[in-house]
Amino acid sequence: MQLPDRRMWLVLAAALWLATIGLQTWIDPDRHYYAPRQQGGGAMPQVYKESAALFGGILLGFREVAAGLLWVRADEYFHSGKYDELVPIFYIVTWLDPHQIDVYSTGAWHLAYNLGDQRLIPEGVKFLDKGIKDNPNIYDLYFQQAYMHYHKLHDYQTAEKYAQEAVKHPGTDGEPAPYYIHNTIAHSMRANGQIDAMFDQWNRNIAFSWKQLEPLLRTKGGPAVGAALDAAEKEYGSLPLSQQILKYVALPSVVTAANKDPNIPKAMEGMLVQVRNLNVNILRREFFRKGAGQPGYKFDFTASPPHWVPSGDNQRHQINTHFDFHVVKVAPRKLKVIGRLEGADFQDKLEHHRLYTRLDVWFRDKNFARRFALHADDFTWQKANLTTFKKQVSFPTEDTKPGQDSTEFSFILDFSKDPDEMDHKPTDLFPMKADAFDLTVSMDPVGQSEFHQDVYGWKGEGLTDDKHLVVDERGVRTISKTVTLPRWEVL
Amino acid sequence: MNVWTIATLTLREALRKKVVYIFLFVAILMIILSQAFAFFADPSGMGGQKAGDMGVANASRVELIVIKSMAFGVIVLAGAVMSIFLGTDLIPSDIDRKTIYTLLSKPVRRGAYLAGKQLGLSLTLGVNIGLMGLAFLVLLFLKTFRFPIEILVGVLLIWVQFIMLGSVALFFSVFVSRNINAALTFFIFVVGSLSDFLQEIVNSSARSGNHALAILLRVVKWIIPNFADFNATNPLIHSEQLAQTNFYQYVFAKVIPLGILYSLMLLIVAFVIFDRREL
Repeated sequence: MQLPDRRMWLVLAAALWLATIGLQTWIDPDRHYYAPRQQGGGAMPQVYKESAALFGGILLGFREVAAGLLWVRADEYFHSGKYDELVPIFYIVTWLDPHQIDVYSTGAWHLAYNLGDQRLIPEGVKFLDKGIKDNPNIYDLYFQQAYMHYHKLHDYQTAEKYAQEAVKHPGTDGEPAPYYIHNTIAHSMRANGQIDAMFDQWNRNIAFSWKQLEPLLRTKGGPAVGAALDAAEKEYGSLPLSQQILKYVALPSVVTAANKDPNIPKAMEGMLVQVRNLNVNILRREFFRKGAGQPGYKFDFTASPPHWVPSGDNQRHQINTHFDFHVVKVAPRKLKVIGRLEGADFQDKLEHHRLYTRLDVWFRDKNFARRFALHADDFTWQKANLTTFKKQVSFPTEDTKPGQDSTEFSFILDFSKDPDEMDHKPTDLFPMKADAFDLTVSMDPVGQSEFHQDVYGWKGEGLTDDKHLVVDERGVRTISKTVTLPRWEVL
Repeated sequence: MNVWTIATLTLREALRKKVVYIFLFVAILMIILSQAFAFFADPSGMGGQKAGDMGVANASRVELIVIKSMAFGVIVLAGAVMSIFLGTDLIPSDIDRKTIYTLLSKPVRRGAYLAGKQLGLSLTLGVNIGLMGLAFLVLLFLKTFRFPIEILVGVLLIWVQFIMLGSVALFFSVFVSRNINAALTFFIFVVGSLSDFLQEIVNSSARSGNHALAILLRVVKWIIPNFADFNATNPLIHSEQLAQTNFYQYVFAKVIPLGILYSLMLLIVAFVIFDRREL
């Protein structure tokens, strides 16, 4: 070969090389979308990033397999009580494969619910946040966050925020968010004291579900259903949609279509749940709770069913709970809380309606929020230093005898043992390092049974207390008292 | 024409090697056995038990994830072994059997010979990886009663990855011995698969002020083929990710052209070296 020929080939090779560099530069920013590399790991220390990249590279195409096998290992740890080993495994599994939605949801659920250490609840929230960063385009983990904030943290505002975000995205199957996620928005609004917004939301939910169901009915049911629906729309079109729907689903041709195609009753079921929710809430607004806590109304326990009725005296008839409690140390790390709350008591009025009042109890370090915030990302510190324990107690208990004062309550807070009997050392679970501790006992009307809420009103309008009424940020009238206990009074 | 003749000859020779069938058999067996791993990953213990609206972890989805990832992993592993094994043997076996002298004494240019060898190797890998992909597809059909054709894009991605690795082996085979070639090709494959790690080191060096090392490593990253780019089957494993990313654009507009251009570049450099080599 002549020299110029070889040079030409080398120039061509160099040009190709430059083209590969150009392509590589174009590829680099996109790689994390396609390789199982996390997007939510921005806070990972550099040394971990390097190790992770090295380990991930060595695994070649087996990262997802390794993730699956480690997840099995996590199962073994869980069942053998090695809870401390679990948390790193959750993170390793989701680092190996950040799109394992089930690992995020189940892992967060374990952290928040199952490991018997309430300090892990924020870790569960954090884990789901990481999952959302890695999987922002599907509803699943937004919904898990909404669920956890609603049921575990009772933070209904954040629950609503996540549920609102969830319904903007499809699921892993590409289908729109199911009806119960839309319902979570409405439930969160109710619990958050946004009653008017809740009604609007139920109407929106119903409209959304009908929008899904109607085309399905027309397609699967054929011309007969289409014609019947058109005729029914002409007849009932002036009614609110929730009432129209009840007419439509009762049409014989619709019933026949629903019997033929299993997708129709499935879609119909969710929509009817929403209609029922709306109607029950309308009934509460217009009948049971109408006038709750307002001048000129009182709750009639003897009516059937019991509900608020005009009193004719223009007086404000609220239930005064006369709430109070005190704490007695019965042994080191063992406290007895004794108190009284005169809540709605159907027991004397209706023989078969003995309803329990739920009290929220929170024992924690004094200045817990500040202590936690200073070490929010350091669970090792939290584990060694933070004490927090929440529980819900009900009274009267089943042991309450007939004729006994059912407004009194007492319960034990025993920090000398693992309350869930999961073999945690009590001194690990409750290190009691602070100088003092706060104990709050509260009665949140929103957290009571619906029958109680009928008495208390949507936001506790029918409720009052001489000393311990707190109108919280939701506008809900909560009965709450906090006592501070010095360390020696606990240990 | 010469190129195609040599390619088909190379393909026939490769397919005569029993060891290739052994690799293929083991790989297909592993793909079928990936179901066993899926059984272990059944989340009935860890997931599955959630209250009310939370729903249950979808066992069949998790099972499919494990099957898919296992199968892709097996194809990658088998493809790597095959391309190193076949690629490093392409020219040395012709020299051992002295067929190279017969071929090159005919009016066959060395460039055409190398291109034919590369094409033949690519076809051999294509047949083997394709068969594994087919087994994978059949397995998925038996599990889901549908053919997720998009899986073949992942198989194609793996094939192009190993065309590139084969070209590395072919490149080394023109100037080093078979064993050293195998070691070097394997080394390049490992380093090329660790490009994320290299990138982290580059970032770390730049941050710590060691710019010389950062530049050096960046040049290394540009020279060594980036096999990690091809480890992109995650959206095929989690099919919900497929609709939310520009996966097909990534594959067809970026990664596959990268693999082809890099292989062509190596082929040209191999030709320039081979052209000057005394046989």
